[in-house]
Amino acid sequence: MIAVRDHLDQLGDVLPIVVTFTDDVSRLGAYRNHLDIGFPVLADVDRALYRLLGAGRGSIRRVWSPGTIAMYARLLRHGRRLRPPTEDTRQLGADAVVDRDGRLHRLWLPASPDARPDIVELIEAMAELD
Amino acid sequence: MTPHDVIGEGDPLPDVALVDQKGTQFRFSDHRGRPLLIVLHRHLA
Repeated sequence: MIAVRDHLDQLGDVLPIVVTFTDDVSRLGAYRNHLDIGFPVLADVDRALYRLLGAGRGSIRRVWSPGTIAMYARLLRHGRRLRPPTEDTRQLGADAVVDRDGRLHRLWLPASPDARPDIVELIEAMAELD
Repeated sequence: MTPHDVIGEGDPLPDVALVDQKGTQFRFSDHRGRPLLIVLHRHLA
């Protein structure tokens, strides 16, 4: 998320959208302010978009893989304050690029939390739209 | 399209019920003409 925020100038006129499934929408604004991001942070309370894109739940072993633990350790070292999650920690995320016509152009479904595409992959996918 | 359908690359992205921190609905269809980068979070940490 921070990488997207910090590379907006390389992403053209894309509108980034962060989606989570919290049922407490009041947390969305705090999260947006905490990360200092100007784009929308939205709630998909019933996880309809997660299902639509095929983002499932991972096993505990995959979700808490050594890579995931290392990822959180990196965030802490860089000053991120992490709160214990109150939601389903086994829900996996996804990343998607949608073209100007509203069609899904690229979709990443990482098998574990630490396998998300890096910012370079996202920039390249956005460039494919030009 | 039923709630159980899964879409893939090349498919149109339908609107789903998304809301912002004020409870305002967000529709993908309102942003046609502009590319979107959607990041599905695991959870808020």
